[in-house]
Amino acid sequence: MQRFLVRRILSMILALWGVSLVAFFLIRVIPVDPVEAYFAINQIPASKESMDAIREKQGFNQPLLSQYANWMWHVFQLDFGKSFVSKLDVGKELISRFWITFGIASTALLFVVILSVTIGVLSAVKQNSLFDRLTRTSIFTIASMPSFWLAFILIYIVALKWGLLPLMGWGTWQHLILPSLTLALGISPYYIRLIRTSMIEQMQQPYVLYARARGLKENVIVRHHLFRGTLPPLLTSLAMTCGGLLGGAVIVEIVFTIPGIGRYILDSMGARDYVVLQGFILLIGFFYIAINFVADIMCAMIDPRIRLKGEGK
Amino acid sequence: MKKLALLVLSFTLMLLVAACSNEQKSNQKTSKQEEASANDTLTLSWPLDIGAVNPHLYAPNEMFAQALLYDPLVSYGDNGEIQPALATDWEISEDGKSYTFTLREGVVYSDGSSLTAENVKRNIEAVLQNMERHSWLEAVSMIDKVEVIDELKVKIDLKESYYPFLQELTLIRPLRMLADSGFPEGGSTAEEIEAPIGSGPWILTDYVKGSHAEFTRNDNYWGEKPKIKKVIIKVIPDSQARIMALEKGDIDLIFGSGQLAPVEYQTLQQKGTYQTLISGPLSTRVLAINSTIAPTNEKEVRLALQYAMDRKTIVEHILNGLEEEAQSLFSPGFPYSDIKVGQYENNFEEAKKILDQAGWKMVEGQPFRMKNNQVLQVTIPYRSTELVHKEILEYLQSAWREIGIDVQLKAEESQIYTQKVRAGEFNLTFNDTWGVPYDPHMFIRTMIGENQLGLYVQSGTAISSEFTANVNKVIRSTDENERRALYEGILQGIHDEAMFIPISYRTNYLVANNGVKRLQFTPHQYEVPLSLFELEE
Repeated sequence: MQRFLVRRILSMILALWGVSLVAFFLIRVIPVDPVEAYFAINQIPASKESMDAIREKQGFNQPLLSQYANWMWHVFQLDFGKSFVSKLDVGKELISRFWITFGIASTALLFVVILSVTIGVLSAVKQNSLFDRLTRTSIFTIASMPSFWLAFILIYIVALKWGLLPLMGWGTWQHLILPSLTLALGISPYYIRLIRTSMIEQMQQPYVLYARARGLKENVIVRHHLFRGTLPPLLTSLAMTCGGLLGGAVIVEIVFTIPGIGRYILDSMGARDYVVLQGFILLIGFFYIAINFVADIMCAMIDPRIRLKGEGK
Repeated sequence: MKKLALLVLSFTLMLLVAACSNEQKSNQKTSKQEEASANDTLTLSWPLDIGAVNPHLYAPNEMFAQALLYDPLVSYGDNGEIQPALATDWEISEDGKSYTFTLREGVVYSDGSSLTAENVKRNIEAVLQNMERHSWLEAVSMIDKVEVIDELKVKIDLKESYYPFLQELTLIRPLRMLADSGFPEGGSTAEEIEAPIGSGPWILTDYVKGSHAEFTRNDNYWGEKPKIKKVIIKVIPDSQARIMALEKGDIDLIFGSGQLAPVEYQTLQQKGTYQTLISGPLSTRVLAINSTIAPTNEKEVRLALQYAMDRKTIVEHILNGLEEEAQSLFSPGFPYSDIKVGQYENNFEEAKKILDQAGWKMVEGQPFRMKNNQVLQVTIPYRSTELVHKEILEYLQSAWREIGIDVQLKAEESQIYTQKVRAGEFNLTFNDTWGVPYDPHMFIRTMIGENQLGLYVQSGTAISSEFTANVNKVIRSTDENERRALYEGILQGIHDEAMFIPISYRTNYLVANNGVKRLQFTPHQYEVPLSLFELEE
């Protein structure tokens, strides 16, 4: 297990370095730099001289490698720099917004797990029942709805017509429900199908047959054998979804007027605010890699074959 | 085991019922509180966060918020009349190079400090320190030095005479005044300010980034005090969400054409449950024609484009009647703009005749006109997010194809669009005027600036050198009659050379619930006149 951990941590660091390279250089491939973008946003007819003067002051005209080294040097000291547009500390701005988006994404994840495990397990156990057939049709309908549309329907019915939850904004737990539900509803159908199919497959396995032969109760078999067997693929794919949830939160944040990271990044992209974008890619990259790391370890704990694979060599 | 589960379940249910009834009570209480406070609080939506509200900087500081907090030395009145604000009086030297302002007595900032000549000097010098960002504005780049004459007198010397100086002082940014306590250590406002402390009609009393801002009436304001006690600005970036917030009663007012598309405005208007209002002309929706590249470098092609379009169709069907047809580059109500330059009527036959005479002929088997084996084709880039522009261009595409011109529309990301336009990669493109107090002088002036869109419009025409000389002359002129004559020549030249296609005069509009009274607009398109609104008793 120790060796497994060391190997995973090393590859994590390597991946993060790769992310930093992509973050820094890929952004600079996009046409229009922050200085030009700044004047364009403000519709100011600035001259080339004044733009060059600002570039000089900001160090945008130094060689790219030295700019990259300078940025990395500060990142190692956990200083992500200041936004070119707002002049605010990027690290602080990103983290404060990240928690909001993280709140939505993790609540959504909770919804996904609750919805897909209950519905998925039930429809596998009661295969081809009325319940199974009903869920199948309804999840296909929901899965094919665009998330912003789903969001408007939810807002219209739950918030505007019934007045049960706030329309938009941020601050209380009530504000969390509709946005997370919107996100979760879009993703859950996939997991419901995944769990159902995977459990039905497990049912054909010899160990389930032996368990039945041993006279174990049906719900013990479902919990300890069938469901446990679906966990490794479920965990890996949930870990991948975490990144998608953060990305999907952007649209939801706009519709529900939540000051999360998505809106901030969208604005920064329009303004070509390099420092903010670099910080964001690094942060999300780190988050993504960390989640996958945790998922790998959990899988290794559940399924000994994974951790033992490395030991043998 | 089962008994235990039952016990837990019933206990949870009890708790839930208790919690719900509690919540109901507290809900009732808050709605009563809201009712009590509703009459002195106006809530409106805004698509963006107001930013740090630094008076000396641009985005992400929102202009309307800067205008609520900070005052200029002089302000812009109806028909461009310069009116006293923080300065009650001003003297201009004979050569037009020196301005002496007498400051209003007894003006206090929201922190209790007084407005002094020293403070005005500090503000102007802070702006001058950040010259790279402000040099586009001549009111800033022209300033030579600022001198304190006495406690309430300040003199500004310019490098050259510049008639629009007072007009540019009325701008919302960057020349409005911040209290001394608002300056950060070191005194430079180029990066940040210590606190948004101004002398304006409102005080920023609460702010949650990305969520809302609360402005409270400044009871010590030197001018006419706002009638409403409190204003809450909610950040709502999506227009559908704004409409739902209005329907639910979360906001009282949606102000500005930037917040509602024409069709959304019309839908709300037709419901009949809201008050709706449209302003007078604020700026002009205009297509600029590039005179430096083929085929629009030919005057005949520019003329044909002018004749082959129907403004009425655009205004009625695309702009839903919310704007007026524009016949000139600037609305006649703007300074120096009440000039009859003539107009190009909608006349497709005339357009075809002009093209035929210029040698652009229809060839059999070809869909478009040709000359010397070249197809008559114009390229029009536009910002992909500008849906109204897209619709207008699609109409024009079909109209111009009817007279044999191939029209290529190119949707671009906003920044890339700006870059292309600055590089002159267009035949036509939207180039709306800026509205007062920028129009007409600043819009005209950019037409002679390097890398500017306007330069491509005039520099390929036959009158370019004369045009450039006249623009340089008009902004230096100190004689009112000479200025008027020069502007007349400039605007006539723009018309005769068919440099722009004016489409409509842009307006602002608002939708409000019935509790908001005295709804109105100011001539300034970036101002929200919250101080003038009232709430029903």
